[in-house]
Formats: sequence, C-alpha cells, structure tokens
Amino acid sequence: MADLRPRDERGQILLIAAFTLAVIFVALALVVNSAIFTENLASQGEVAGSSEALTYQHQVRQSVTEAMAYANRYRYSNPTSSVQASVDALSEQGAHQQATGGQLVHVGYEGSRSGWRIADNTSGGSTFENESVPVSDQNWQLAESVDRTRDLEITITDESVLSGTKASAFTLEANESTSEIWELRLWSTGGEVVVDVETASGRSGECRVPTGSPVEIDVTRGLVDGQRCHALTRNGTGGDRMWWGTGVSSPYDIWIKNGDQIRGNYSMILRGGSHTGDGLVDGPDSGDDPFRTDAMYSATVEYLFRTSQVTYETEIEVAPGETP
Amino acid sequence: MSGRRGGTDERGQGHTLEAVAAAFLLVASVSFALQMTAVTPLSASTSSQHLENQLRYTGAGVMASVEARGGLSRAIRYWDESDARFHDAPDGGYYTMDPPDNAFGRALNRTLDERNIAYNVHLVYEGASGDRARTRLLYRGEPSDHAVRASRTVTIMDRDPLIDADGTENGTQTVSNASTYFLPDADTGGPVHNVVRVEVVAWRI
Repeated sequence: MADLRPRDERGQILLIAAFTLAVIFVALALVVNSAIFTENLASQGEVAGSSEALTYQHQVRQSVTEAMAYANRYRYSNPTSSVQASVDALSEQGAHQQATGGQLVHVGYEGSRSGWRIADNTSGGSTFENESVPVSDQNWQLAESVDRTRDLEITITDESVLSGTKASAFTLEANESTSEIWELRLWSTGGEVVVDVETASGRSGECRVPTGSPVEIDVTRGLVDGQRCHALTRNGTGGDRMWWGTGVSSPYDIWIKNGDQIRGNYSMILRGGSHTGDGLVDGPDSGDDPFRTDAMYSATVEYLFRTSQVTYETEIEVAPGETP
Repeated sequence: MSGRRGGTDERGQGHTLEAVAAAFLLVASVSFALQMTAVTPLSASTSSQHLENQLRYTGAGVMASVEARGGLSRAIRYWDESDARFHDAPDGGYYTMDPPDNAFGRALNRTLDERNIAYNVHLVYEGASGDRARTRLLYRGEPSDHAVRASRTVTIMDRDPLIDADGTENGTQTVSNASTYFLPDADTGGPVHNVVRVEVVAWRI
C-alpha cells in the first residue's frame, strides 16, 4: 500500500494536466476561429448583396439598348411596339434566370421619346454626296434644328478616297450660327487616317489611326476603331471638352462638306428638327443616297429588384451612344 | 484477505478506465493532428473566403469588360453552322483545352489561365419546351469544393448574325435562320430570340 500511493497521486496529476491542456487547446481553437470568422465577414464587402441589384440594372440597360437598335433598324415603322415586346420578353425570361439565385426582378416598359434616323448603308460604302440636293451635292445640309444626336457613326471603307490635305478634307459640321461651329475633318497622310476636331470655342485636337480598312469612327462615343480618341472626348487629362457639338447651342444644324472626299457608311439618330425637304429619301434605301426613317431616341423602363434583404426600384432611361 | 482482494479488483477497474481514456485521447489527438496536415492552401475553408470573393469579382469583371463591347453576345454567336458546334471546338461540341479564339476567350485566358485558375463556362437559357436548358461552352472538369460562380445575362435578338471563325459577322446566317444553332427561339413572333445567362465557374488549382 505504502509504495503504491505516490504512483496513484502522480496519475491524478497527469490526468488533471491533460484535461487542462485540452481545455486550453479548445479555447485557443475558439479564439483562432473567431478571428477567422471576423476576417471572413470583413472581406465580404457588403453582406446584403445590393451590388447585384446594380449589376443586373446594368445588364437590363444593355438589353434595352439591343432592343432599341433592333427596333430602329428593322421595325422603324413602329419601333415602340417592338421595344415594348422585347422588354416584356426580357423581363419574363430574365426573371426565370434570376429566380434560381433567389432574386425577384421585373422590367416594365414606361415610355419613350421619338426621334429619327439618317443613314447611308450602301453595301461596300459610297461617297457622302447626296444627288437629290440640287445645288451642291458635296456640301449639303443633313438636318436642321436638331435638339440632340446619338449613335453618330462613320465607317470609312476605302481610305484612298480621303483627301490628302486638311483644307480640302471631308468635314462633318454641327452649327448654330456662323460663329458657333463644331467641325470634324477626316483626311489621310498615306499611312494614317487623321481625325481632326475643332470646337466652337476654337479648341482643336487630332488623333490618328494606322490605315487599314475599315476605319470605324463612333463620333458621339468618342471612339476610333474601338479606342478612345482624345480629339473626340477631352483634350488632355482634365482638359477642354471636345465632344460632339461642344460649344454649339441646340437646336443646331448638321452639314456635310466635301462629301466626295470620303467613301463609306454613316448612321445617326436625332431628336427634334427635320431634314431639308429635298434632301433625303424616305424609308430604307439600298441606293447610293442617304435615307431617313422614324426611330426611337430614348426609352424609359421601370426596374424592380428584390431579394430577402434588398428591395430596389428605379426608372432607367436608355439613350445609347449619347455624349456625356 | 477478502478486503485486500477487493481493493486489487477496484484498482484493476481504475487502470482499465484510465487506459481507455488514454487510448481515446491518443486517437483523438492523432486524428486532430492529421486533420491539420490535411488543410493545404487549396483546401476549401472559411479562412480562404476573401480569395473566393476576389475570384468571383474577377470573373464578373472579365464578363463586364468583354460585354461592354458586345463580346459576350458575339461569343455566344461564335457558331460553326456546318459542323453544328462552336468554331474549332473539339468533337464534344464545347471547348476543353483552349478557350475560343474571340474577345471573351482571350480575356478569360489572360485573366484566369495565367494565374493557374481552372474554370468552366456554361450557358443557361430557355429551352425549346420552355424548360431551363444548359449548354457547355467550355468545360475543364468537375469543380472543387471552393469553386465560385459569376454570371451575366445577355439578350440575343432575332436578326443577330452568327459570327464567323475570323470574328466577322456572317452576311447571311442569323441566329434565327441557322438550322443547327443551339439556341431556340424562346419568344416566337417577338423580336427577342433568347435571354442567355453566361456562368463562369472558377476555382484555384
């Protein structure tokens, strides 16, 4: 008995020590885990998921843009009903898609502003002349008293037609009077196409792209071949505005000058104003001359996004390709 | 005598219980230690949540930047009408090794492939019978436990042209008149062809 007692006592101490260690380990694990959980919560950005409402809103805007482009191109006789049908379809199908992620979305057509479209989409391109204009078909007025312009695009299909000098270059002009003139000139140095802009306040700038057909100039978005052109947006960082129509008060007129010094296609959607009576063919036309059709200038849709944590409702106005 | 024998018996029980408890502790600590070694940087765990968030936002960012120039819609229409599959896709009909040779494929390659991130791309849309259909655009295998998903919805209109292998629009074939195109017209009579959700599932390898 006497020689066994100390061994018994040592066993108890060992057991107590083991339990204490176990408790310390558990406590440490708890501390580490709560630190991880805190980091986890902190890295989630926002817990409610409100960014998804804005992401989907952007996708709706893009879808309505597609629907409007489609209506203006193929359903110009009644663009409103076409856009309305598209919005209904994308609301329904989009709702099915988003429902799987626990999101309830609804898009509804609210209204629109009508406008009109001028285009010359001759296959392979043509010069920007207008043979229906009796006086001078190289220099002619495209539209009169226009309030706003969007999606103004020029595609050059044959660069060899471009003038070699600035003085005789093709010019697209927005003017309100003889003093308020915004000008876009396009000419070629042989190796490069020069996009030259002069605003009503006299600021000028140019950007160049290497020759290589076709050259696409998105005037109102300020893009040349998909790249930002500072002469169509801003001159230098934080510099002067150069966008389409800068310094020209609306309503303004749109002119083409030296229309024989370019070969390609163009298209634009306008709000307000009219075309000069004898200037444009009505309806789509595959001939050499430009034509006009009715078009939708902008559309307004209501947008509702709801999850268990977020309810977001707003109206979206879509007018793709407007200058900012 | 009897009292001494009883004491020995009791001590035997105590030793047995101690042995069992010791064995339990030993096994528990060994299994705990083994679990610790099983947690590698690639294991799914709550501690790598911020990496998963980054990956999700990366996927969403790739799609947003591509779609800003219509690249996502073009990738969906990048269809080889005569072979009834995406251009240059293997026999299975979807890409496996290389992503498609268009803006979307190149953006995925630049962003994810070069960082050792594996990904699948699925297209979810309304099928011919009104159900939800799913087509693989790119498939690299079963995702791991810590895979994340980013998605973006794209609307395809009736007269949108198919895209040729070189990236130009096909002059004659549209999504509506191409007979082998995978996407059915979900809005018959209306201008919308279908609404497609592009899903990128990405995970670290």
